[in-house]
Amino acid sequence: MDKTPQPPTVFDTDQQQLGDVYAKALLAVGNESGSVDLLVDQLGDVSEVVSGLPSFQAALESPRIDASAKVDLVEKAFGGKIDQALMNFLKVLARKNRFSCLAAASRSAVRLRDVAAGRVQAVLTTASEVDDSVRDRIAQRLSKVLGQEVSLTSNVDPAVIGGMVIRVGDTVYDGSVVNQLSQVRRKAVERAANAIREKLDRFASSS
Amino acid sequence: MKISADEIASVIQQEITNFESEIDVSEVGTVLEVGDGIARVHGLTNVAAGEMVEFPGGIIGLAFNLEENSVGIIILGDYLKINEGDQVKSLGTLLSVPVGDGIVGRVLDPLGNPLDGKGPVNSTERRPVEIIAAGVAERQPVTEPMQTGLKAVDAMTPVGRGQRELVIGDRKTGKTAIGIDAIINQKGADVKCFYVAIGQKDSSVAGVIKELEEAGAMEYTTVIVSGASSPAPMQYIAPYAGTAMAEHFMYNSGHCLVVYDDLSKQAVAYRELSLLMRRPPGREAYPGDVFYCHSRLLERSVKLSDALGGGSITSLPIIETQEGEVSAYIPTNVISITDGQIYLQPDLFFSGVRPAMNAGISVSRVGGNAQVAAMKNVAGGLRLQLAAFRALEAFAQLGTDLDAATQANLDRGYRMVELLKQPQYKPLHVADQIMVIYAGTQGYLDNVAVEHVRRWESEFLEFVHNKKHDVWELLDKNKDEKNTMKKADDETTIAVVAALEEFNKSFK
Repeated sequence: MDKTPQPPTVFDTDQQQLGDVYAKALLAVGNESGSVDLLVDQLGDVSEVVSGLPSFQAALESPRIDASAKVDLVEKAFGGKIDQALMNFLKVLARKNRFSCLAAASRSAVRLRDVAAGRVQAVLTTASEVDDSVRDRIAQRLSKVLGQEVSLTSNVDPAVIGGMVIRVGDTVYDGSVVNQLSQVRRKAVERAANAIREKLDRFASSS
Repeated sequence: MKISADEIASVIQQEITNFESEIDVSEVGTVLEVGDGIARVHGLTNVAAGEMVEFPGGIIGLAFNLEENSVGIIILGDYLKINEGDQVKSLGTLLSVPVGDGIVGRVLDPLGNPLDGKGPVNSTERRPVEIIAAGVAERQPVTEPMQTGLKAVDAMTPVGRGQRELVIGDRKTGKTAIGIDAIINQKGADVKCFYVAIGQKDSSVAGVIKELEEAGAMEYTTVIVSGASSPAPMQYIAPYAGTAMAEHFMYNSGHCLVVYDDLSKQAVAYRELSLLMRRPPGREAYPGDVFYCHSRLLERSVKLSDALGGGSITSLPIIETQEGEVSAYIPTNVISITDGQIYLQPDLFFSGVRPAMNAGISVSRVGGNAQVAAMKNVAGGLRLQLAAFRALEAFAQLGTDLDAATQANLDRGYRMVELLKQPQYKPLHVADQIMVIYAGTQGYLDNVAVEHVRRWESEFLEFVHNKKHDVWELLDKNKDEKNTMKKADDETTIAVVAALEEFNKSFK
């Protein structure tokens, strides 16, 4: 059966909600044993491996394959290479037929770990590549303003023209040239329209 | 006239010189899915219900559903230009429309954009589309009449300023005509009119606008159009937008008349949105809050207290029924919200009784308080008499012999029905109405053949205006006095009776 092709932006909020629950449980296990970082990093690796092998992923997600077969499959593939707690986590996913939320669980595990550690992810978008020193300075300033440790990932988008756009969670700090240009444009149009409305005779010559 | 480019350039130059760059801080989300006028968005953590959001390309949306993992947005614009993955920005404001004198005489869409090709809307003020209606202390009882110019309506179901009178009936029974006549009759009465067309064919709306223009009514009327081809969100907000425009005048001591044509289409648009948003369907698949959708709209039609300037919004909501089914969900809802209804019946309409008002079940709960005193004295028992006549008529069809008194009642009833007929777009002045109805109820038409009643009416009114203008003026002056036309020895009554008798002598 063919899967309809989907654009890369597809984001399933239901899967994400499931993923949140599983990630929370995994982190709780990690907190008890003090191995949160290890678990989260390994979960990221596993998720990457699985999504890199579409037929393997299909097998794990398929409801037609028996849960015990999936457990064996996971055992064979990752046995000895990952922490036992994570192995148990994967087996639970297999048994509950929830492998489809693996990627979501991995994403949310990273986010939950950051929240617990008082860290936030921020995305910096600039028109051209920036030096590491500049990036570090931006990260420092941001940390100061937000009162949280900021881990900055950078993006290059020539459409920004100049300046920078920083996105932290759902909040965007837009200091880009393209935004300022559109602000100037909007204000100038508004002002001109108001001026014309108020004093039409100033603009009109009767010829 | 020529616009000078140099002057505009100097304004823009000034703006650029004084421009201070600000960092734009906003909250954003990402479009997950879009279609049928709605979008589901991930993010926008702190967005409020009803808040405006902006899609790329300046398309505006309203936050409609706040869910655990996503936000449902209704899109007020071309949703086909929005893609999955687009960034959505919350604007932190509520939807508003332009208001003020600049919108009078215009044809606008529900966002206040012009549709009539007469250039931009010249208005600097705006009002939020959704507000909470005035409270109890801010109102006063409805006592001033709002003349519709229709004999049947003004005599039997009078409408007052600040009242909500429902116009209900099947398709093609003259519902819109009542609204249009009421608007045309406001000429010179200093009442701003708003005609909100929801889900109608654009050709019908164009027809209405043409009629209003020909009657000179567009000078004080604003038409808000959200046609059958506009997406459901536009049809849903249109009546609120029209009310917001009227409220500006009301809160500045003005009087307004709003015709919502029609609210059943708005309910259908709201049902569409709600189902797309996966709100649970209730009766007839309407969402549970469809009552609130109409009640919060119609509660905004108010007669304000004198302290607030005494302005008013009168509304004539229109509801279309299917096969005369008034007990369907939306009709019963709106009937219970409004202060009375004018019920139009297809069989009356097709037998030539136009307006096809069923006198028996049409009521005005504000009633006589909002009627001109003289009209109240003349037409007091008319509604019940007509209802009794309809019952008697049905009985008489059985072919039984009738006694003389019953036959006389029947004959007068036939003449009254004939007298209450009125052509479209020909509203009558209240003094004319009073004289004609007085003649009918007091038996001055008993000797006129039924088929000549309408000719009698037009010739009599012509006679009064040309030869007895003093009588007309006396009645117009005294019409608000409590006892005018109440008793036979009243000064006005004597004058009117004299005119009637004189005319009847010459009528052939």
